[in-house]
Amino acid sequence: MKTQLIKFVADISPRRRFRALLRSVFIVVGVVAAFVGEILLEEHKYWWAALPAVIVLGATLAEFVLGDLLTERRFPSKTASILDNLESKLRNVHDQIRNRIGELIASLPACDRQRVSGTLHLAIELYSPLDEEPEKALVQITDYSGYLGGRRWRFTASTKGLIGRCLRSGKPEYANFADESEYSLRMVREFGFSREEVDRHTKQARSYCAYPIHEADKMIGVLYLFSTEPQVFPRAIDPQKLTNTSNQIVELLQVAHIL
Amino acid sequence: MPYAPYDLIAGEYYHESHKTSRNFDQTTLAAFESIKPDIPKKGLVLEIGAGRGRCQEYLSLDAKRVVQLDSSRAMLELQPREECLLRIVHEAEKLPFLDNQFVCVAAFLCDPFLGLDFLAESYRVLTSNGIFIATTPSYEWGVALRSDLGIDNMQTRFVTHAGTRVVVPSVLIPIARLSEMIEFVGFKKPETMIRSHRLPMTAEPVSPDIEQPASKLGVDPYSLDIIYSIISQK
Repeated sequence: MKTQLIKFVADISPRRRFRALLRSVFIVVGVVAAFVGEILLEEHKYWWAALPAVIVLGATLAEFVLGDLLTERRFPSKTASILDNLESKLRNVHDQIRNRIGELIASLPACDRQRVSGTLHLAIELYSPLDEEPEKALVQITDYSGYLGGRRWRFTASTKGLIGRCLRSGKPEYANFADESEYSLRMVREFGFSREEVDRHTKQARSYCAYPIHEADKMIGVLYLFSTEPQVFPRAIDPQKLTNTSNQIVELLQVAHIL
Repeated sequence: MPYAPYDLIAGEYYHESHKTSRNFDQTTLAAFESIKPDIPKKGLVLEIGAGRGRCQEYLSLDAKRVVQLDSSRAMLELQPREECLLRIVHEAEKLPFLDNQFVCVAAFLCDPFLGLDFLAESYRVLTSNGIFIATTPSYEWGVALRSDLGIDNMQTRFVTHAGTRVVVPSVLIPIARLSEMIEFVGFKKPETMIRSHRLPMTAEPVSPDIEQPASKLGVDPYSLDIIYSIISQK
């Protein structure tokens, strides 16, 4: 039950989760202020009761006005509608895509396959609230196959990371790191992340592969693999198997009307 | 400049106080006194991760044949050191040589850079029938030690004379997968020998980092395999 509840919460889109959190905060503040105001009124402290009354009014305004503004600023509604649409379409093919990636990992030779994880990022355009000009980005649309990796629905700008580099170049990209120090150094210098962002990363991985997925001539996403063992990629990759997996994923996305 | 984690400990790496490394040296010397790999009498030899150089000590090779390569400039500048033809600061995973240049590639304690790239590059720069010689810490020893130290199997730690803990990359791979990797990059399987080696009975003192895992595994420190030697032919 607890696991199901955690999964339910984790599966809610970030936008909804953020809005729900704000709503909870404003409601709690309003209710507490109302309770305090009620006590003060009963004790005939009318001037003091004005203070919690102002807080209740503030919490109400925050919920009906500020909450929407903050949510829109942080999660522009055009982006949120794209994600909601994606989520519902993916429901039928998500596990199949994960399984294809898992099969690709299982086929890797000459490495510890238990150390490899993989996921799929979809190329999208993000609309900024500032200027309406869309920016290319990637959104992780599947949970990871493998034991490492973060939750889906994370965005990565085209200027960041190995997957961002793959999105820009349209070519397979690989990176290997000897240890955590080299990873942290190069993620800032070469791959466009800030130190704070790198601190939030999983830093155990040592070998990365970002493979562009195309539908006809158009690049529609990135297949992303990493291993906590160094020098796995690109050597352990069979280009034909990678292409096959990519084609299978495109078919599944077409069946789900995502493309 | 390549990333060089061993720059941090180069100054004292060969000091007697680093007992585990000295135990590895003693084991390696005993191993190659026994094995005596058949290295071609002529042609260049590449020593990868050379440090101060070991080809003369372990393989009795002529210094004029040996090219020493290391990602750490500090290691390559250590004195005293073995003489060689040339010293090159470069990473092991992508070698700066054309194909088929060396009759022998040697890499003693290659764990900091062990992986498919290093093995494939070693294969690439070897001449036909060239010989690959390497040593690396044994998986069984390393896993037993690192689980107690609470560090990942892909790294090890040195404690400097100043008491600083320095963590450096160190890849542990079991024999079966090591064999698979060597074959995968192109070496001939029948000509590949991977052997396990133990501390010689005359080796003293024994490092606590060998005594501790030996005790954990229920064996005498002189009965615990601590390094693998790899000899393979292109």
